[in-house]
Amino acid sequence: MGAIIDNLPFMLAGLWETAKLAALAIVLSSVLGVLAGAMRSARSRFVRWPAIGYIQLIRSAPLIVFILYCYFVLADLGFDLTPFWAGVVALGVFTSAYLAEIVHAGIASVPPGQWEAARASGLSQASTMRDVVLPQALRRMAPALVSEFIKLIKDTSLVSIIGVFEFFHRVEVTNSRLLTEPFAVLGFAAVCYFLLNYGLSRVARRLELRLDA
Amino acid sequence: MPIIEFTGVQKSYGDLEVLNGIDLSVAEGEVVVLLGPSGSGKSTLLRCVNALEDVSGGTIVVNGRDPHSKATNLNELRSGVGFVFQHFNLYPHMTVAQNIMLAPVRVKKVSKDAARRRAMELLERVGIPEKADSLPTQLSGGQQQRVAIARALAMDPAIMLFDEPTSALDPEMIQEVLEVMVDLAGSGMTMVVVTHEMGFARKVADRVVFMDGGRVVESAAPDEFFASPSTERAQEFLRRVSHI
Repeated sequence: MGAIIDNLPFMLAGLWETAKLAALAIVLSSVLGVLAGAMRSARSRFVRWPAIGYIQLIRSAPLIVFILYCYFVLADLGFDLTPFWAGVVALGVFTSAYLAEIVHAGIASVPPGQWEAARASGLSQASTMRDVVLPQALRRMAPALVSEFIKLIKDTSLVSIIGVFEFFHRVEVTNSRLLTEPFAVLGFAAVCYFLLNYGLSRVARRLELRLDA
Repeated sequence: MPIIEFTGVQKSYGDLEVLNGIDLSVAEGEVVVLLGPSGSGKSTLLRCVNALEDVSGGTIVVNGRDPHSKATNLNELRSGVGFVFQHFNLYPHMTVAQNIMLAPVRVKKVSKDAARRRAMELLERVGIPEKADSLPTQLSGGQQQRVAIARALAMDPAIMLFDEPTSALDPEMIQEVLEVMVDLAGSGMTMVVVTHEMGFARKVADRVVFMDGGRVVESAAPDEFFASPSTERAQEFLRRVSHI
């Protein structure tokens, strides 16, 4: 226990890094995911096909490969990102492919009568999507989206591989330094991840209740 | 010059011919009721007017423009044609007032304040101003359909289309919706109504158009049509819907 307390400031500094990483990746994945999901649902194949390609391609790669790819290959292509930002991009883009499929299913679950009513009143395709279809779709999708965000938070531990000094990286360093306390140190890490994710589900639940009201 | 004109309109789904060469014109201010058995093509014909359905052949001219031509600004054409659906299709995530305000604000760029005032006037007109801030699910079917009519009227359309507006309602709610439609017809609105309400057709229609098998079989003033339909098919239809 003393070992945990001694290393607490060191590890908690990483928790803040992890929270920032996750928050930025969640924002990025949401923007890309809703966009790709809406495109995936379009009638025109010239809009739909690029979205399908994007989703299929990204979903087929293991996340760890994707992370390394974003760090090393993007640098070769001239996008020289810091490990932190490479991590945000990797997690954000990777998760967006899964979100896009959920968004697509959510859009498909909105009854056709809603489209017809909106289009019949003169609303454009884009306005119908934004004002009528997406708000209803997002409400139905909320639980599935929260699951993806929880996965994303856990996956932040993988970007330690490109040298982001986030929470799990610091936990590992602490563990290697102490050598004798794996149960306490890794147990502490598990509790921290639990609190982070439980916090997210509570916030999400409250948002859902507000949407239903 | 008619406000809606169908010329040889055809519509088929694969081998199934739904509309089989429809010629029909509707004058400005006219109330036309489309009657006919299920599957006769009434609803399809109505949905072709604002291009909710494509046509396979023939032409339609609405307010001087062809809804099925690529050159037509379809959103603009549609904003001048109100459509009332059998199942209301209100937006469930918006209040009654927001339902009515959406198209004026988004399409006509009316300010929110002006749109809200207009929504309240329309709710007054359809008899439920107290429901402005309720959600659609908190309303009865009849009230929902009256909101749907108000929503369509908010765009100040030149034409109102009704696709079986009372067919999904409990019998005791049909009257309140028909009353709104009668009032609207009295105000000089051009209306095309697909319905099974013979009383409404008799009382309000300027003309009854009887369809069967994707064709217009008979077109006559309601008195004439109900008293002595000239085709056997219409006679048989009227016998069947008169219940005993």
